[in-house]
Amino acid sequence: MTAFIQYLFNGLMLGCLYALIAVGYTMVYGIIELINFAFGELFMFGAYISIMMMVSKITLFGHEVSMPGLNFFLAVPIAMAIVAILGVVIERLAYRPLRNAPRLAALISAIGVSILLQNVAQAIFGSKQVSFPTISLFTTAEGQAKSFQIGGAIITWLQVFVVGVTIVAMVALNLYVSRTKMGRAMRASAQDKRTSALMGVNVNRVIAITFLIGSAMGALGGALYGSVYHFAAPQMGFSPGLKAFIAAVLGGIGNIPGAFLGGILLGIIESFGAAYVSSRYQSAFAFIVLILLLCFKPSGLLGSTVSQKA
Amino acid sequence: MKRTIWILALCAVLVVAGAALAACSGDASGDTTTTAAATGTTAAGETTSSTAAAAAGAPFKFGLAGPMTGQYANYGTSHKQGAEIAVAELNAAGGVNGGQASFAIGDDLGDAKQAVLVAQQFIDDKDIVFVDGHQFSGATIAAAAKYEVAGLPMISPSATNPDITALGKFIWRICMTDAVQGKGLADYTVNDLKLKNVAIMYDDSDYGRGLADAYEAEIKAVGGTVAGKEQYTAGDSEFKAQLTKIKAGNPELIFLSGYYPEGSKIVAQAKELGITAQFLGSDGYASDELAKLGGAAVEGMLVSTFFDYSKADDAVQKFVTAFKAKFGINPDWFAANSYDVVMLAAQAAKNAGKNDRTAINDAITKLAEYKGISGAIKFDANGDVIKPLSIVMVKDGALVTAPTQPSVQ
Repeated sequence: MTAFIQYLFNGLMLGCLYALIAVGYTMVYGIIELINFAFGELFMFGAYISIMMMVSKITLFGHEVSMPGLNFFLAVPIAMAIVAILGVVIERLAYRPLRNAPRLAALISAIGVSILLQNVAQAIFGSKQVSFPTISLFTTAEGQAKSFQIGGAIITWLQVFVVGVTIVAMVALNLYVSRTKMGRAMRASAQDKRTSALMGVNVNRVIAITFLIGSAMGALGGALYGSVYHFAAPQMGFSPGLKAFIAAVLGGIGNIPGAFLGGILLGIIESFGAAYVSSRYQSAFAFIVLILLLCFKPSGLLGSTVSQKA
Repeated sequence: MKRTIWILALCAVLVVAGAALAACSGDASGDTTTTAAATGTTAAGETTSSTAAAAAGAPFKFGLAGPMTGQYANYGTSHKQGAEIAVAELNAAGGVNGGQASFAIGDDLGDAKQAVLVAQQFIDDKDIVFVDGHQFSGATIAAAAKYEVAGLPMISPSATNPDITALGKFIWRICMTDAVQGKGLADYTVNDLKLKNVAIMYDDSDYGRGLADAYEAEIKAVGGTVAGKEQYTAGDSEFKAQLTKIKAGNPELIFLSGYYPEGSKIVAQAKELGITAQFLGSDGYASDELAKLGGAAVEGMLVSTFFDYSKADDAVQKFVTAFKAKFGINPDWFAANSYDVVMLAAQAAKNAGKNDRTAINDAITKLAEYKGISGAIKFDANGDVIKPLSIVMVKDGALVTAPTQPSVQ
């Protein structure tokens, strides 16, 4: 039982991290039907920029540079803002010129951006992993993570924080999309871009805002991932990015609660799979789930958007 | 029309950004090349003024092969830095057989396909008399076939796959195989640390698996028990599922077979789960980066290494001092072994009396024992090395000689 609770909570936290990236995939796909592979890299920049803001000195381009040394809770919003702007710039330069081109062209552009960003990160921060500073609120004086026990399972406060932040972010996002004017414009653009434009919706602006929000969420995910696993590396976004994409498909791509559900489910499936089947196939479970889903329920658990679009 | 302008503007931005990036990375590598060249010139200047004959000899030029860019670039960088120290030392002493020491860099990305291309370049450069590399086993196996046919001696500082030296008489290495290390570490665990109930966590690569299997077999052979054996894939960051299973077996020691980027996270997560067992890491953990990434969690962890930079030995400390002065960090074993490869080849060339591929290879065959900074190096009939194992411990963020050393060498 102890082990079961442990696996469940580990999976829940991992799932929350997937969900934060998945939400970007799902929103962007909902509106412009583009799989923005660069979200994994924006996730990575979220972690790096948080570190940059938190340390007092960092090596950039092989030169040591002084940094502000901010608190985690101040550094992460700054990282989210910077990455959000980066996301919008990417949309403007790499995707908008291809808006009316065949979908394959935009997809190839997305893969290109992803590779470019990875290499840029390696040029700036170097190929070695960088350590993520510990957050004093979640760390004891001896440098250990603060934790508590439930039925013998050990859960750290940082994990609880990750789950809490994700739930708050998801609820806020869902309210934004369902209650505000911009949210309505997003839903309208997702249904039919041309008609929305005729009704006076500035579709380009809607798309830019979608990238802004998706990128900020990705950056938040990256910062939390970095703080949980204590590192940042140029390739760190690749695998979570791929898993998040699966989570988005699992929940029904284009659907925000679906992305959250898909992320959590995927995290828990991975954790239980590694524990009760074999750790050898930990990463394979995500893909097995994807294949089964595509065979039996291609629109995803909560999704109907895909069939509407098709 | 407007669209065309946009696309042109985009291209322009990309070109500028690309050029800026190229300039930046160019600067970085340019720096090291210039430093190496500058050291070379100064040394050359000194030697020509003192001994006119020095310039007359054939150059002592070698190929340095390893991953210099990409995700494994940190290993290649250590490798190159170790060789730079060796070259500076050789040139300061007047070169080898009157020839200047220098090297050409081949970037194999740690990849077998790329390694073959690098091998061909080195073979075609007639000035190159031996190869310091390659680093990864896969790349080494692919390239070794080429070197053997061309008769260019290759000494790998770090490729541990057992099959490598069977590839030919021009193929050497100065690191022990995974099988030898695994057995040695198991003996150390049971006989010296007196810990009998162990668990194993390994990276599912040829290296990680081979080492873990050898360790497991020997633990059982000497009367220990293996309470759990779990694996992970390089690049993973979530290990709690495996660790929760391992925790249930209540091991006294957990052997980690793999590399430090994952390892620092494994140990940190184990501590979060309340695991108090002693950790023992394979040679892939022997880097100051382990302590940097792992922080407080890795304090007290034992690590197997081929090079102990805190060892009280004149040759070792001379190298460490020179290395720290030049690069500002402690050398890891990749750097130390690369240094040893160059110095060993230089010794062989001096014994042969000329800087020539076949002559150097013959001289290596005849070397009875070479005392390197990574320990005394002897080759067996295969070209495999016989050399002692050292254990270091993480203490205050650095690797220091562990209190308990392996008793049987």
